[in-house]
Amino acid sequence: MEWSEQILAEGCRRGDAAARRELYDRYAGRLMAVCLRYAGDRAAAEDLLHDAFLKLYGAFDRFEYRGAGSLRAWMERATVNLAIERLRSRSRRPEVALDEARMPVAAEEPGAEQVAELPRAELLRMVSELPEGYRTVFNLFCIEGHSHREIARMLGINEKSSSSQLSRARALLAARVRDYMKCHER
Amino acid sequence: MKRNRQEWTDSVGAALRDAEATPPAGGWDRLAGALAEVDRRALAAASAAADAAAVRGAGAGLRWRIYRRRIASVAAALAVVATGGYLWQAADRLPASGPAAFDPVADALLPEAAAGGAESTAAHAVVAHGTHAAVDRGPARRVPLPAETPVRAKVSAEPLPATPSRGGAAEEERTAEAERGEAPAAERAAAEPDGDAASRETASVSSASGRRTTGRSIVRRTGPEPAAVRRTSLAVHAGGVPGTSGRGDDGGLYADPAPEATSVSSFAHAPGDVVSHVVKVMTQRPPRPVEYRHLQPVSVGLAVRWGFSHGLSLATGANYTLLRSDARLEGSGGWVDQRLHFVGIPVRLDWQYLQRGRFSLYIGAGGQVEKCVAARLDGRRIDEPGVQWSLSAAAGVQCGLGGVVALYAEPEAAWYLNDTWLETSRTDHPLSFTVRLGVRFSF
Repeated sequence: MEWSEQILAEGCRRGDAAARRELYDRYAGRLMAVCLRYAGDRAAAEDLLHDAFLKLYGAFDRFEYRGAGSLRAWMERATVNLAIERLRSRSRRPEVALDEARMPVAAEEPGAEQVAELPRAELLRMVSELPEGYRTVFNLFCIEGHSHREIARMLGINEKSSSSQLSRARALLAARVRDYMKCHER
Repeated sequence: MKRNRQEWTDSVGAALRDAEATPPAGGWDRLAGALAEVDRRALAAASAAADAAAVRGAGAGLRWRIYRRRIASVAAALAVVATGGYLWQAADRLPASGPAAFDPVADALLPEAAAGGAESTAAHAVVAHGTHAAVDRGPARRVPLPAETPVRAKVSAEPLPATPSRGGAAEEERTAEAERGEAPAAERAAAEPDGDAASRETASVSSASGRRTTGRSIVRRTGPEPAAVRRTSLAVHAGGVPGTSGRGDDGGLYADPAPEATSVSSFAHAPGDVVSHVVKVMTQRPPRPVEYRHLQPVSVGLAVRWGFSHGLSLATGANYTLLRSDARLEGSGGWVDQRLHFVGIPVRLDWQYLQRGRFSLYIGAGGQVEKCVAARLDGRRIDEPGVQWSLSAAAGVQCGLGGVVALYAEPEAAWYLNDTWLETSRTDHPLSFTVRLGVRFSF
C-alpha cells in the first residue's frame, strides 16, 4: 500500500525509519534531478542531495499539507533554497569564464517541438553543464518561475545582471541543443 | 522571434520540472548512518537546549542556582576589597580617646604618651607635614614637650586622606582650639618664631570622621580640594565588555560563548553542523533568527551623583547601549545585521571607602531599567515590547586631575533579570561584566 503524503510526512516528523526510507525512495530521483540542475556535476549533486534530505528530515514539523503534490513541492523548494545557500556562501569568484562571457548570442533558437523531442536526461545534462551563474539564473527563471527582481534578491546581484545572464544562458543552451540535433540528424 | 524563444524555454522548463535522475548508489545507507548520528546528537542538544530554556524561563531561582558561584565570587571580592579598605583606613585613624588605637610607632617615640594617664588620652593631634606626621599625645591643655625635642613619627608615607566630612573638620578644629583657649591656628602660625615653629610641631588626629588639631602650628593641605568633599558630580562615561575575542577572518569582535551558557545559538555556532538545523527547528519559532554571532556591546552615558555623609552617594543618569549581532535566518544563506538600541536609567548607591591623595576607591550597587528604543533585523524594524531589568555591582577607582575634573574606571557586574524577544549577548550571558571609563566633574 502506498503511503499518502500526509502519513509520510507525519511519519517523518516522528522520526519513523520506515517513513524516512519511503520518502527517500519516492523522491530521491526527482530531487537528484534538481540537485544536478543546480550543482553542475554529479559528485556535488550527490552531496547536495544528502544534505537536503538531512535538512528535510529535521524540518518536518514546519511542513503543512496543502493537498496532493504539496509535499513534493515543499521538498523541491527546500532543496533549491539549500542549493542557493551553498552558492551564496561559497567564496566569491568570477561566475563566467571570459571566453563564454564574450560568446555571441545564437542567431537561431530551437523550436518548442524540437526541444520536446529531446531526451530529458540529455536536456538535464545540457543545463547542468552551463556555467554556474547562467545555470542558476536559468533554473530560477525558466524552471522555478521567479522574476528577475526575485532572483536578484536571492542571489545578491542586480536585476540587469540577472537578465543578461539569462540571455547568455539561453544563447548557450540554444547552441548546444542545435549541436545535439545536428549530430543526431545524421 | 521572442514568442518562439519563450516557447522553447517553456518546453525546457516543462521537461525538467518533472525530470528524474538516478540517485547515488548507496545513498540511503549513507543517509541512514548520518541520520542515526544526527538523532543521537539532536537528542543531547535538545536536552541541553531545554535545560537552557528552563534556566531562562524559570526565573531567579534557577538562575541563582546556575550563577550563584559567580555571584558569590563577585560579592566576596567586593567584601574583601571593602573590608580591606576599611581596615586600612581604620589603622590610620586615631580616635578621640583611648590609647589602644594609637600608632605603636608613635607610642614608642613618645615617652609621655607611654606613661599614659588621663591626660595623655584626653586629647591628641596630628599634623600632616609633607609625607610625615608628628604625633603628640598631650593633655587637653597642651603640655609642652620636654626640652624642645622634636617629636616625629611616621604615620603614613602618603598625604592624609580627606574624607567626606572633611568640611566639618575645620570647624571642629576651631572649636577644640577655642575650648583650650588657644589662638586660632593661623594666628599662632603667624606669631610663631620661624625656627621654633618648624621644630615644635604639634600633632593632629586624622580620622574618617574629621580632623582634630591642637598645637601651635598647623600645616594645612595645599593643592586642589579633593573631589570627595564635593557634593554633586557629573560624569560622562563609555564602556564595553572586556574579555571578548576578535575573529580575524571577520574583522570584528565576537563574544565567546561561555560553556555554561549553553543555548540553541551556542550549538548553532559550529558551521556546517547539521545538528544545528535539527535543534533549531525543534526549539525556535520562525521568523526568529536561528543562529547568532554576538558582537561586543558598546555603552555610553551621562551620570549625576549626589554625595551624602559617610562617603555615601547616589548616582543616576542615562545610558545608551548598542547590542549588535550577526544573525542567520531560517532558510536564508547569509548573515544579516541585528541591532538593538537601548536607553536605560540606572540608579546606584556608591560608598567611597578610601581616599589616598588624588585617588579614591568606591563600591556601589544598584539597578537599571532599560527600554529598547529601536531594534532592526536585516534592516527591518522589530518591535521589542517591555523593558529589561538588571541588577549591578561595581567597584571604581577615581583619579583627580586637579580642579573639578577626575578620571574614573569602573568594572561592573550586571545581572539581567529578563530577556528580550530577539536574542542578544545578554541572552547568552545574563551575568555580564563591563568596564566603564569616564570623566567626572565635581561641583
